[in-house]
Amino acid sequence: MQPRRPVPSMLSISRAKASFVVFACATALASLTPLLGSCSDGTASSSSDAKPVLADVTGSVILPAYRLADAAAGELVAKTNAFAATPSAQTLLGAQNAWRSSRKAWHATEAFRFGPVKTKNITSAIDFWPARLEGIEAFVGGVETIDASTVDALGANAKGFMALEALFFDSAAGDAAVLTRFVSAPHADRRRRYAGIVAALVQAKTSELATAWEPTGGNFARELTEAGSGSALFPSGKSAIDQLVNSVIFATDLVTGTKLGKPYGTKSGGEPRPADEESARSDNSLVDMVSTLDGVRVMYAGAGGKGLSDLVRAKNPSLDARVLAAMEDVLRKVAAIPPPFRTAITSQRPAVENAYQAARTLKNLLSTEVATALATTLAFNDSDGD
Amino acid sequence: MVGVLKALSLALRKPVDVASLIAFRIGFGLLMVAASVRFVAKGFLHDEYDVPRHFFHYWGFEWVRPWPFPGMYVHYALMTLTAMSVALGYRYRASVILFGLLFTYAHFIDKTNYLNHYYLVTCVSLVMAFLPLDHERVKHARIASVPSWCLWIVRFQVGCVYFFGGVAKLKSDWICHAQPLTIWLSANSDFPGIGRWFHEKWFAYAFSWAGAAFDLTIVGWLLWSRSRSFAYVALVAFHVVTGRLFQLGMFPWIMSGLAIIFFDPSWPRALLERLRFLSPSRPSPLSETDSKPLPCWGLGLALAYIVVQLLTPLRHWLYPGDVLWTEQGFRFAWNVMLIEKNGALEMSVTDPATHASSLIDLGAYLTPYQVKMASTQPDMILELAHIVAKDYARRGLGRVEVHVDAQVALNGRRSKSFIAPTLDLAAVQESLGPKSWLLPGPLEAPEF
Repeated sequence: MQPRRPVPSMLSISRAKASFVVFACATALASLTPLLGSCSDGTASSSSDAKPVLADVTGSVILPAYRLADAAAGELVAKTNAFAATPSAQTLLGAQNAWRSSRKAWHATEAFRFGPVKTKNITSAIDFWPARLEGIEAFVGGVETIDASTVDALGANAKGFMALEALFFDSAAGDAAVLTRFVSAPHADRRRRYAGIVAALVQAKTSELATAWEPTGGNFARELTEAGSGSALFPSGKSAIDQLVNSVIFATDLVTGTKLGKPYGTKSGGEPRPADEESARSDNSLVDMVSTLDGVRVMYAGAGGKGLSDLVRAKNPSLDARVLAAMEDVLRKVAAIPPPFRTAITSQRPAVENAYQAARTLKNLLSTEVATALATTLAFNDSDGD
Repeated sequence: MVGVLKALSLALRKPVDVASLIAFRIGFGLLMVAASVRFVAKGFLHDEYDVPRHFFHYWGFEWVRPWPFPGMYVHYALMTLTAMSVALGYRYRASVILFGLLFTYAHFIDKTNYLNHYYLVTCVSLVMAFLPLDHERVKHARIASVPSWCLWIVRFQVGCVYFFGGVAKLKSDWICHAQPLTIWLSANSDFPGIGRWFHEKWFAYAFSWAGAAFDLTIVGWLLWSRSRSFAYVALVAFHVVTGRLFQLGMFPWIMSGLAIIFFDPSWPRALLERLRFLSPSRPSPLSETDSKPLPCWGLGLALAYIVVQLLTPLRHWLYPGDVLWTEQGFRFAWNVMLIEKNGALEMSVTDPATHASSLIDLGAYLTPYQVKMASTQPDMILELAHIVAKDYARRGLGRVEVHVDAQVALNGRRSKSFIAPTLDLAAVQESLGPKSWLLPGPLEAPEF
């Protein structure tokens, strides 16, 4: 059968023209997509709830925390220099306390490990764990000149907080042995000089970090406060909130899996692993954990201003209450572990188990229900979806 | 019945202008060039093939693996070249077949990266392999028209995405609870203009219902000449908005581009004549036709393909439980943007002799993105358990049991155990059958 031969008509041409016009309009509409982002009027009514949260978290949590960490590191330098100048039980205690304070302030920033701390590799420069005692002793006992450049050139495991812990603390031999090493043991003078330089390098890094965030410095704070309206890093408020949520999940997971769980034996068939304890020489591990968790709590609940809690509460008040309760619970249970942690993992296992389970509960709540409520893109990847 | 088939056969042989199919071929080829280049430029090639130590395989396709370096780069270079060949119509049939094979192979390597529009590209490539769209034939006007089945099979394929995308939305979460749009919209309330309403529940309902209605009916509106103009503008607006809201990559562009197949078949010819690229004195575009009867085997093949396309999205009904929870029958079914689902996965190995149990460092096996995707998908969790068990055996550590604690939160509900922690997944074999070992999904409504 001969197919019918359609004849092009005015109608079909005009339809085609119309189709073209439609297609052109649609293409123009699509091409306007990038412009939509800049059309926001920036008023409160059109800005997301993320804006005030980001402003408050930046201004009342992150910036003060980095300033405090830097100030504490300054105090650490002063006390280390005082100890190095006149080693005594009193100045050693001063240096130890300054180290603990500085460590606490530093761990409070663990809940927002993004931005300059990552791009400048600051964590590995000052908080590499564990320190390598043999390497530190070899350097102290060696002949190489001890100055800022030679110490800075050392590996990450011979610098930073953990190197200072190795110098100032000895939970096995006691403070008297530490003092002897700084006063009368061979190379005591080199040890004193080394300690002072390590502390100064720590402070140089905390200072660099604080400056990078300061509005008067590198002003990384702007990336958060102007998310979705000028930030190069965060094209939307949501992407910045995603970063905050991922950061608190990371910190909670760090406490759960690495700081609590690993020494407790979760990855070793239930056998305690004292070697995996974070700050065993100073018996500061439990304080480290509490400091990190406290940083998580402040990021979530805010510090006199808004926090992630406000966003969650607006959607699901019951979930917010459960998260806050879980945070209090884990803080209480970690604080309830009888110190020191190195003995608790063998002799106080029920207390450690309680704390571990509380930390897991919090981690799971954050990474499932909070992430879902805030539509968080976990693990911060930029893969496509559909 | 015979009469219907005869009428259908005649209708499918009726000649239609080839012009819109040629435009479709050019658009598809160029979009695939852009997608391939973008994939490499954005570092996805490195992230998805170089970095992972293990890959999650599709059942029956365990043999599909990335080529050793720099094999995948060559693979993508070839993919780009063949896509360009498709656009140009140069050695068209060989090019589109090769492109389809290369594309499908690349995206069958790891189900972690499954996307609906990747599946669409595979389907479209397969369909196009049967169409007479090579440049030489068209250039010499040996065919200015094609049998209408050529046009309708492409329309059918593109239409499936929308229609079954709409059918998939006819679920309680979407219709009755406006989820997950309630979650997604309120997280994006800095969207220009309409973002101020994104916190409103009524807006999420409106968006959900309009989205479902759009998907279910847009093909009809595009086919009806009177509504086509408005429908296409609405379609592009829809994809612009969703593309701006969500991280959809090439999906909005591909769908906006492919939907031109619903236009009048002659629209490119009219456009070129208007722009004086074609002479109005050219012979009537439909004066010559290559409308051979569709052979019986061809009709059978086309019908079989259509049946498969119609049934595959509905296969989840063969499995017990909510597909959003079990994800059995979820892929290859046009389930587009239906779930906000997050999981917390812990996997442990247990020595059967001592019962000593140790948590696995998932990062030692998977990338963070693989961990995220695996934490809510049972077949991936099962494959990971087997990867771990095999790794222990390979390292001489003997046979181990593999258990998981998987907590999953779906569309604003409380998190819930996904798999019984007592189950030894190393002893469970993967199959296409129902995963009866999955714990029941949540019965309660979303909390907000």
